[in-house]
Amino acid sequence: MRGRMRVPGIVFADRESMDGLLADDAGETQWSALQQVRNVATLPGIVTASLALPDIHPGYGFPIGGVGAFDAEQGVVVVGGVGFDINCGVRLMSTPLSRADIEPAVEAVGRELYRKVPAGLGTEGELRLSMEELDELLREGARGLVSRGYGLDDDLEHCEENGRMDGADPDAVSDRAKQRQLRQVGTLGSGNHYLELQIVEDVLDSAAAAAYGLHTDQVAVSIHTGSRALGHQIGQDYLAVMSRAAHRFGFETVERELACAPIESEEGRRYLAAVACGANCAFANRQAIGHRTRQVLTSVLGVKPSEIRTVYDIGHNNVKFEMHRVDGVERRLLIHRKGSTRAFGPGRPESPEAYQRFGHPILVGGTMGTSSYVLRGTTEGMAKTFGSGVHGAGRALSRKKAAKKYWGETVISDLAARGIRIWAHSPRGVAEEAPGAYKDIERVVRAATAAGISRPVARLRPLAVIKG
Amino acid sequence: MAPIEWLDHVADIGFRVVGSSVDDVFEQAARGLFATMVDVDAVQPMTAHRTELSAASLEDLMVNWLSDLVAQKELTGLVFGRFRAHVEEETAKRFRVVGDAWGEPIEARRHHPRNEVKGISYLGLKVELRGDRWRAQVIVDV
Repeated sequence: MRGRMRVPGIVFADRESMDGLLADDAGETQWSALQQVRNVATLPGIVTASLALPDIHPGYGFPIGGVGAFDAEQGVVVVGGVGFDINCGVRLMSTPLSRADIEPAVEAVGRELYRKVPAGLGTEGELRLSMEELDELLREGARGLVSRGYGLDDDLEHCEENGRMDGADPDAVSDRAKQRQLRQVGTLGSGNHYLELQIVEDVLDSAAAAAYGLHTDQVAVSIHTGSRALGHQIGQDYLAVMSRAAHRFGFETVERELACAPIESEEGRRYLAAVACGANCAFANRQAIGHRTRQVLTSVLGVKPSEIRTVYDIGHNNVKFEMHRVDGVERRLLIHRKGSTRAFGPGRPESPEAYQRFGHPILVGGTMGTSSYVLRGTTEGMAKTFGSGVHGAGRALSRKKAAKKYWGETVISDLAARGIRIWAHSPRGVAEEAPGAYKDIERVVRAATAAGISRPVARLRPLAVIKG
Repeated sequence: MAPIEWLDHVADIGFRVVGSSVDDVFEQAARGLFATMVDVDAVQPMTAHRTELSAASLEDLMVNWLSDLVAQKELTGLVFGRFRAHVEEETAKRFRVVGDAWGEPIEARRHHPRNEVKGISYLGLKVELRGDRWRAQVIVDV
């Protein structure tokens, strides 16, 4: 395998994480994240290196925390570089409320969010769309929902891609994917998805925080979810399509999840058009949940809707065409980020105008009971990782081990004792998502800072968590 | 019911099942799939859904079978708890399954929803005959 690598693998991790990765690599290689870094390095048209960031852990084809850049003309697009949850990501919203305002009302707000935001297996959204309306949503993303009254124009200005990926073609998405999605718009999902009421506990970069509209003691909301059933079905459909394509083009992929096709092929173009639909579905989903959150805060606390702002909305399972400087030359590349966000430094045209000075916010989700972070990108990071950053803590324990070690009701009561209220549709899900099942997010953020790829701006602490 | 062996995958959920025949192992794998999502033994077999699928290998057929069941969960609004599968090798590179799944609409209080399955992965996927027992290993993205 090493002999077939076209580029090196580069892993950004602290010593303790690296020791763990090497130990896994010495054992069961099919579940070794380092082996997955090597495998990605064998793909045609890959540029510079197969990268992995400090929240690395094993994924499907790509490791989670994996980044692969491919020449836009000679390279391939890879299903495993996007995954099943297309444009899974985080939306952060700020409010004019302070800790003193929210503390007497956490129970009321949490209960109402739990009631109003559909979450968990089998739940359905309020929006009932026809197939034609869904096609429109796949083309227009969050923008389509705002034009129907589900949010504010300001939301779109502070959303990656302004809430709408170009190049979406609903004809590239199967009817099955669309039918599965018809009742899921505006649903949270389950697993590691969440809606959190948070406090900005610490501002670590006052100038950047001010530019982002964040200050200490401020109440904020984070929404972590993705493209739901539509994205899942696109991922499943195109695993088969791209497997056949890889065979047709004579690509010997080391792992089935690295099924790929030339970017410029019919299969490659259709997959990218479908991924854009999935991305728009995720933007629309977070827009719908954000709008519902705004309604709850307005009705329970009397906050003006316009004062509940979207700070940013960013995905961490995506593939995008971007211009990057490689060996002194500007090149158009297709960047796959799997469990990784964009982390652009100052001055990139993709960032909102209001954030040009510092670059866009990078939203790094914690898990129940742990902090979340807002970071910003660096010029150094543009060169080191094609402007890619971490997305979360990464798991330390398997769900099996976590379910054995933790009891959902105990986790809920322990967190309540620390002032964090949990509303969850699945106590077992809570056990699997217990804070102890995840790596220390502080270490992940410190490692990313030490690597020069991002800088911390603010740390947020959860007050209330809604889980599926 | 044959036991489901849960695997120790760090991020998602994996399971191994054993069957007396290839038909049986497909049925057991379907049960394992739904056991990741609900209390599968609490699901009553009220409504039937039939599917017919083909693929070039048993592994591909397993992915198609399980991913079809995941999709049907949303399309029909049912969770499934009982399964019957008939697997045939039509040609050297073509396998077919005709499968029935029985279930009912999801009820949180009885079915205790767990994880939502996003997709069936090829990572570590196995469908193989060892001695006189069929074995399947599947990892699902949650």
